[in-house]
Amino acid sequence: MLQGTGTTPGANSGRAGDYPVKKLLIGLICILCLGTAFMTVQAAEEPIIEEIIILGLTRTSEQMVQQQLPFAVGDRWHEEYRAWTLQRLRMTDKFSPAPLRVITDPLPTGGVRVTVRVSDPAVWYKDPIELVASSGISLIFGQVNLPLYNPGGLGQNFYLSGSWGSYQHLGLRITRPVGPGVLTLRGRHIDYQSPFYHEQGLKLAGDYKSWLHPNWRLEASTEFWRGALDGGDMQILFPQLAAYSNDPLRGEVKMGLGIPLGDISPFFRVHSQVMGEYGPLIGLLRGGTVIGDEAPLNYLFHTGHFGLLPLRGQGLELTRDYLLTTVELHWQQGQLIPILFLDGGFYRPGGEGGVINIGAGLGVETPMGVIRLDLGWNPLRGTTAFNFGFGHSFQPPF
Amino acid sequence: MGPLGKRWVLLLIFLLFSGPVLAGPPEIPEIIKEDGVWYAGSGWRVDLDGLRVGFFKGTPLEMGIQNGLLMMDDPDEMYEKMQEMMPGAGAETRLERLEWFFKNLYARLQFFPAFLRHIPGEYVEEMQGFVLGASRGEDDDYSDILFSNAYQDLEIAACSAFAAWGEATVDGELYVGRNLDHGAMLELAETQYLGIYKPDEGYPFAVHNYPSFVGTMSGMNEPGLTLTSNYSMAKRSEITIDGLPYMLMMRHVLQNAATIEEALEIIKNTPRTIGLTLLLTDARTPEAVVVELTADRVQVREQENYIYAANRFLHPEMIEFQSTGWLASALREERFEELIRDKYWGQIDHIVSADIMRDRMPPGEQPPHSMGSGINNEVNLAAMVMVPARGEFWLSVVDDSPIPFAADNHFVGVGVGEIWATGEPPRQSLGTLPATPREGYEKYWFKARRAVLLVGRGELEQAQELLQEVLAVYPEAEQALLLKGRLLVRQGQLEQGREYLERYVQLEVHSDPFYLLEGKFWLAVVYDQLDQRELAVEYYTRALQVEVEDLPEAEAGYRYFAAGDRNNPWG
Repeated sequence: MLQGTGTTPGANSGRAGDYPVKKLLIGLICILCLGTAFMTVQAAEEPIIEEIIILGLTRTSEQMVQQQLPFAVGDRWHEEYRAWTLQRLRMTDKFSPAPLRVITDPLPTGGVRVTVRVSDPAVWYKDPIELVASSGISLIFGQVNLPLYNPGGLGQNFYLSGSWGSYQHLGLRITRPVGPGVLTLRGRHIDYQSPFYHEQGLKLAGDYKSWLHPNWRLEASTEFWRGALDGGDMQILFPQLAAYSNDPLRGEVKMGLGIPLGDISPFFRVHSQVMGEYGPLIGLLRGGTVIGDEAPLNYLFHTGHFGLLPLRGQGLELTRDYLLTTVELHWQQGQLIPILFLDGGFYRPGGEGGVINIGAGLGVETPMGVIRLDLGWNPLRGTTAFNFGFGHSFQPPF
Repeated sequence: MGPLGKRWVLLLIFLLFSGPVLAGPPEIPEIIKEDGVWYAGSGWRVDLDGLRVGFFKGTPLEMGIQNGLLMMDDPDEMYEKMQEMMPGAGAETRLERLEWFFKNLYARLQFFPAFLRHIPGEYVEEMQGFVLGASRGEDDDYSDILFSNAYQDLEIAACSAFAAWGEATVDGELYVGRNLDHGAMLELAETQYLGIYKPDEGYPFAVHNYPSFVGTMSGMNEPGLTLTSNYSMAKRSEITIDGLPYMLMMRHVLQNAATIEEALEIIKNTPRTIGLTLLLTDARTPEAVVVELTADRVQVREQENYIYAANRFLHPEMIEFQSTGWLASALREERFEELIRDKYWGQIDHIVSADIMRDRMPPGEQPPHSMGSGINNEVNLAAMVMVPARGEFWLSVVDDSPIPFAADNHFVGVGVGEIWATGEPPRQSLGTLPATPREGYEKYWFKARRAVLLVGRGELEQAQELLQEVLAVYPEAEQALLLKGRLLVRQGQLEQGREYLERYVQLEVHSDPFYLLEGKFWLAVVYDQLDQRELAVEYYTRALQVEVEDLPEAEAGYRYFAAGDRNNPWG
């Protein structure tokens, strides 16, 4: 049609307008072709996996490790498989931390042999010193934990736990690798006297998580709680979906729906966090909300110290909605880590007008991880608080 | 289920749980001596021209008991020797002893269970059997035996080996020469024996070993394989303690592989621990390969007609995983090349093979008075030659000398092939190869090498005397000059030390570049001490210019200090 109207000015101008579009299309096709060719060449350079050897198993079955591998014999080897495999194997919590390696050996044929080195730990511990240290610390904090690593060789880990004091519980957790992920079932009887509520009852939960990509992990879980909150009977089903990423952004998103099996209305809970590092500066942005006025108190968020949303210059508070940021300056000197921090943002109820906590801390690197003591100050309220704990307040999501 | 079925179930349960009780402790056979042969059950022991030869037959437990009964003359003495070899045995202060107490406790809680998880049950049974035999039925706690079988994975030694066949040998047959070099094990040298096994399961095999070892470092089997080990220091990321102790892996190969391919399959699929270069040969093909490995990697090096292994990786894919550690691999490799290719090509037999393992010359054999180590050295505690096609195992005999120089002692040939076939003790050896005469250059070489070892042990006066004797006859003995110079410097006699170091540095030929680096460095230090800064700077510079192909651990330190001290006399 356009060709037939070639003599008309409009048509001419139309043809003139088409010309760059065509060029653009041809250019795009060329780029696509070149890109495909480049990728093909790249792929061709990757060696073919000719052999996979799993070394070091003494209780766990080889098949259980194989299920975690994101590659198979005949595939082309990609470097990202190394970290991906290690992430999956670590997630099973079934193997000693050393040796846990993925090694590639070039073969004379041009292919590659992949050796996955794992080691079943002792049934009671991965390291005796760690066992003694962690048991001692647990006892100081009024709890006992007893892991059993794949005792029967069938693939299950068992974790027995109990605690006393304001948070009393008796729990059992069982994990097992299933497919390319890990299935966890847990049961816990709780009697918790929090500063805000008294929670009692039985919690049963199950979750399945898997690294579906070297940089992101998905987790689906469901929790059933039957018990009493401040004396009132409750039954709640709480399914939750979570996604974690470690590149390009380190962060997580969790969304859960509370389905009460009684009089109160359903509620929705979502929270997420993103972490970034720039030299010695570490920043963390977190936000969350609970939608539903009748959400039980034990499903709200807690602000305060370690393990909670960090506002380290003030006491514990219950929060429905929050947007908080933490910035820390770490000045590592060997094993010691002097730290300056700032926690700030908004939360509701209690911090609608904004809040800032500042402080300093000292971390010590130990084989068990970092032990920290922080002193925080809320200049607006004039409160101070000491915080002692393990790990960092900005602990990455996994 | 009827009453009969119930009875069957009850009987089954009874059998399941009463088995160990009904079995009771295993029977410990009596040791009987007849015609110079000690018998214990199906096992026997005979001494052939000074060499202890043991034969063990049956189940793992039975073989272990026979071994413990026949080869362990004095369990207490052996226990003491093993204790002396334990890491931390030299701890002197209370604090050091306390530190080692916790380290050993940690080893028992962490490493031993890990070893046990990886060790096949049959070898644990054999260890139990050994303890039962050695204790004459009094004990079956094998924890110390477990340590002696895993100890080799913690202490680093040297060792050299070669194989020659086809055009390289006099008759085309395959010959293997092997030196076991391990300074920390010298105490054990005199307890060595040749162990000939005929297990109920697997192939018959023969190993050079020490009491309490169920694993091995050298051996051959009936199908015609030989396997010997050499350490190769691998980077920390390439090793682990959580695996099967390598001596047991070698035993497993000898007992279960008939071809190089089968042996490689076992090695590849074994959770390994440390860096090694294994010489693996097959007499039937004949062929030989060197398996270069770390805890997780395996590469195979091949060559026509001959091949050798010292203590470093030579496979291009393995070199990047090498760590520093042992000196003189390059020198020994060069000597193997010279001796096999240039000197003995087409003439190699078991006699020449023993001569190769006795080599004490520097590359080029010039100057003939270097007094340095060749393939042979002062920590050599065992030397052997294997002719697997003929089932011959030639082993040097070691007496109770504190420094055995095993390769220079007389070799005794044992026809293990015939023993595998008949199970009977031989009435005589295949013959002997005479010891190296302790005269001429050799006499002074022994003195010089003994001095090196004595310096390492802190026995300086005796070392000085030996060096003096050597230098009186061979004033240009490079190793003696260097050592003497360093000793004098260490004792504060700077001027005298300088004189020896100068004489060493001025020699026309230096057999090992590392020692030249060392000599120039110490000379620079002496000049610095004598306030002759210009000369000091010159020697620091000259030390830094020395290129060392080998992998001595101390090289980096010398270079670091030489570079620092060259620029700043205060370091």
